[in-house]
Amino acid sequence: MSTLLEKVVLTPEEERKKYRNQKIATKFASIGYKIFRFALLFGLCFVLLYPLLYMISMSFRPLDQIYDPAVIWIPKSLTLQNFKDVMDPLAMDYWNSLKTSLLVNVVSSLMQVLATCFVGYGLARFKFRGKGLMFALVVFSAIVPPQLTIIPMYLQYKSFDPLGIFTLITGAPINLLDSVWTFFLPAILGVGLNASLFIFIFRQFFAGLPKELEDSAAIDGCGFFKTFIRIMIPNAGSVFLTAIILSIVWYWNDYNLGMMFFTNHKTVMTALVELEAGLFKIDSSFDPYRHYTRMQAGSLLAIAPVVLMYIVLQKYFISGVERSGIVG
Amino acid sequence: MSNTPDDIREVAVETEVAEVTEVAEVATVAEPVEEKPAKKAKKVKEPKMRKELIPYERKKRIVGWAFMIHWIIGMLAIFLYPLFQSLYYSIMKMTFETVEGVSTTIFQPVGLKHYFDLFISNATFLPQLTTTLKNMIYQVPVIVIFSLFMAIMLNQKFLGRLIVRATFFLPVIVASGVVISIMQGDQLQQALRSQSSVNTLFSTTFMDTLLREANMGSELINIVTGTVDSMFNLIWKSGIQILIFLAGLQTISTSMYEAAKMEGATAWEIFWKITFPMISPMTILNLVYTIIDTFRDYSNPIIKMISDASSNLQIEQSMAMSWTYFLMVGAIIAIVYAIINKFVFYQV
Repeated sequence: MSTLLEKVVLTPEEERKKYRNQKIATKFASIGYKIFRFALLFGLCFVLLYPLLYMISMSFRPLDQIYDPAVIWIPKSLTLQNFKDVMDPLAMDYWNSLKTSLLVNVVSSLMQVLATCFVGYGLARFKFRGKGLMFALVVFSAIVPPQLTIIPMYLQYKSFDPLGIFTLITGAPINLLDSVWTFFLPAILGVGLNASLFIFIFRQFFAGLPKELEDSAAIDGCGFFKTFIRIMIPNAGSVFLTAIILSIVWYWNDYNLGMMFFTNHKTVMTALVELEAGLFKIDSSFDPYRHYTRMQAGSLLAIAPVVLMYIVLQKYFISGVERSGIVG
Repeated sequence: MSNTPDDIREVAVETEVAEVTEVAEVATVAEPVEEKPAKKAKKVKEPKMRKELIPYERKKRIVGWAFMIHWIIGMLAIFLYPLFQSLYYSIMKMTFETVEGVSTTIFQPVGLKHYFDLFISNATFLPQLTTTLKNMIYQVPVIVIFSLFMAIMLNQKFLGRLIVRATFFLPVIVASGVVISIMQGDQLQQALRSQSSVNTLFSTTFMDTLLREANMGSELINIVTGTVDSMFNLIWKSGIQILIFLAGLQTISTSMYEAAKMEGATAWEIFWKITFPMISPMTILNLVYTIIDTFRDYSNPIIKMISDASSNLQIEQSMAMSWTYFLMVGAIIAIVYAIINKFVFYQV
């Protein structure tokens, strides 16, 4: 006991010195950590932004400055010729494909988010037989690769005839291919692109809300649907925003469905896939340099709408993800 | 002013009473619906109360179904039926015939022939499968650890955090396979410029020589340099994972950290004793998500094989391939989940 005390007791001078040393050490450590963090984050941000910067730098450049060793990032003069070439109806047909993409994306995203939100609420707030099975199905459908179902779905849409209804009405099954219904129909039914993930997000969110909310609404005479619409949905604002952004982005970036179900129409992404072939149509001489600037311009045009949306909504998106908890 | 707590308590009691009476009112309103059973049990009071509760629960059960009915239809028609069909195609031999202008498809059952063919006579499937699975084994932990590290860093407060965060979630937005392949397609351009061969974006040859000097096994060197070389891909793949970890970190209450600091815990201890256990449910979620994501990725050689086969109208083969691949990855997910789930700390 006494030895312990003796060790601890220091003269005021020594104590001050020790305290100062400690302070300096921690300060150095924290500065060192800050420098390390800055370097790491800066480097990684560069890696992440490099393709975008490269795209921008390349697509605004006139042809002769591509192999000019004096130009690395910032071109001497700017041109819009690359964009004009790419927007050509033979190449990317940008405005038409943008129209298709916007229509398909926005409408099916809204429908999908609404549909999955109902399902998530049902899974989170109600007890009924088979609920465990339903949830297992949600997880299962997230794991199954889309390649497994896409060809049977193609055949199904080609002669669409659920329970023989269309044969009864029009005499023959209808062909849904090349129409927007190939996107809208799964979205309305809540089984669209990555729908199971949205169901999961909504389920986690609604399960986290206090039960008292529902009870007090019931006491005040709210029915189940009224409770859902009046009480639950206004609470879920940030989750809705996150889900809608993610849904729009995923629909935008998917080209597999578009390639499969659209033959005459093009979404922006399928147009980008076919851009390489399309460029030969407008210019049969294969100049690799010109080709590269055009491809870069094309991909910049393809991602521009979602990136713009992200820049505008980025603040809400990140805070929405954090607050509402994708994970509950 | 001294008796305010009592006042509050009184008020609370009053509101409770009010609530109870309201419940009673609701019950009396609900009575006419269940008239006949109520008449039968007129003399016994308590069963009546219980009987009134049952319709509410039953109603809730029915409404629960009503909330999901569209999804159940969709699931049956657009998911399970095509899934069943794909299984059916994979054990059939399809021949397309055009008889008098009408094209018909003839199915002949061949059993598991396509599956056996994959393993016996297909020269590329098995090697591709093993490389894919090998890549998955080292990529998945790297992605998960990296995203946990980045999430912790992005959770701290520093200048320009918003911009850095926005940049890190950019891969979630620009996640298209086409754009990424075009981004990497400019290697040729880079090679032309620098007069040297470039394998991937941001690749290094320096690392390889260094490790060879250190007498490292060549297998290990390949994994290390492979990881470093594909750093670009790994960072671009970890957007969602960072998002999930960040959301998880936000849910840990700060009082825990404060208590630990008061007790004199170091940052290292705090990480392993608080952050890591609290974030472990998100870790398992991320592990499963990363496995799913890497195996559904379109740049994956197996997925490429599958889509090539289906565009060459070898639908049976492509279906057999996807089923084999899917079952294997499903087994991997089940094993990983079963093992890791034992170490996960659930709060409740």
